[in-house]
Amino acid sequence: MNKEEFLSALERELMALPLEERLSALQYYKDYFEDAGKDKEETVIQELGSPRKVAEDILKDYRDVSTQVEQPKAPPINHSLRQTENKSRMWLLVLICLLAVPIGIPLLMTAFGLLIAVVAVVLAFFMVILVLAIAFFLAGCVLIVKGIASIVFSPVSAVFLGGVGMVLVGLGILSGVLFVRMCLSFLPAFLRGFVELCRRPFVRRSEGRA
Amino acid sequence: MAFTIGASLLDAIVLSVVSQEGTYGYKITQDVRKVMELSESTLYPVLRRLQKDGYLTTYDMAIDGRNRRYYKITNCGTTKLEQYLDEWKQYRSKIESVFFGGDVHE
Repeated sequence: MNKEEFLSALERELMALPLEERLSALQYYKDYFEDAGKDKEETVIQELGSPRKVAEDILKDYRDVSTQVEQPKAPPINHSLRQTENKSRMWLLVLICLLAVPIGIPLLMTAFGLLIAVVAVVLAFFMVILVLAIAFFLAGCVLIVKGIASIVFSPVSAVFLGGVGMVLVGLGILSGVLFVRMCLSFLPAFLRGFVELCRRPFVRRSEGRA
Repeated sequence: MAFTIGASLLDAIVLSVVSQEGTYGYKITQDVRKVMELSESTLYPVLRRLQKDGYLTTYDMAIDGRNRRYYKITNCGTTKLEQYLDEWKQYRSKIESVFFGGDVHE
């Protein structure tokens, strides 16, 4: 490598620098070669080392100086950058919430409606059994009374009516027992499950916080 | 040399060398090398930094049919150099009082 090759290699390595900086560095090393003299050219190149190494020193120092000048500014910039990052993240969250509203609210309402429907169905089932029990019981009673009333004129139909009435009364009592047992066993469990379901989101959130 | 020379001491030496006369890169390197080991690629970034800080200024002068870049100390640089020299005296007397005992005059 001779002087010209060294200088052009150095110029290539310094392309990252602004033109003025690059020219200044090249001027310095051109001068250096000239002042060292033609006969010392090889010694100088050897001592300087590779153009890349020389360029690295220059670039490193240039960066250091630039950052030193901007240092008072740098931390606030970083800080505000982080802040804006946080802010934009928050805005993003708000935006997501806003976008979720048209879907989320109907979904929530649907879920709520379904929940109410389930509760209503279960309650209706209980009501049906209760009403059935009362209806069986009352109908049975009425038939028994009718049977007793017709015992003089038509003993056969009286026995028939009385029998059917007793069967109905029995069904009514069975239904009533079923209703009571269901109320005693199933309803509390159902209500507990329902309450648990409603509490779960809040419970989970407070657990997450702890 | 057994002692390493820090960046500010190198700055002070360069300022001192340049303050004595208008001089150029190669000569500065040779002058600094008289007192400390210095790789040839070390000096340019130092000169450039001192120039950026306003302690040195450059001018071009025609010599042997080409332009040579000269370095000159500024007023600001002279003040800085005096500061360095003061600090150096204090530093030296502290070090020497440890090395050679308390009889070194401040």
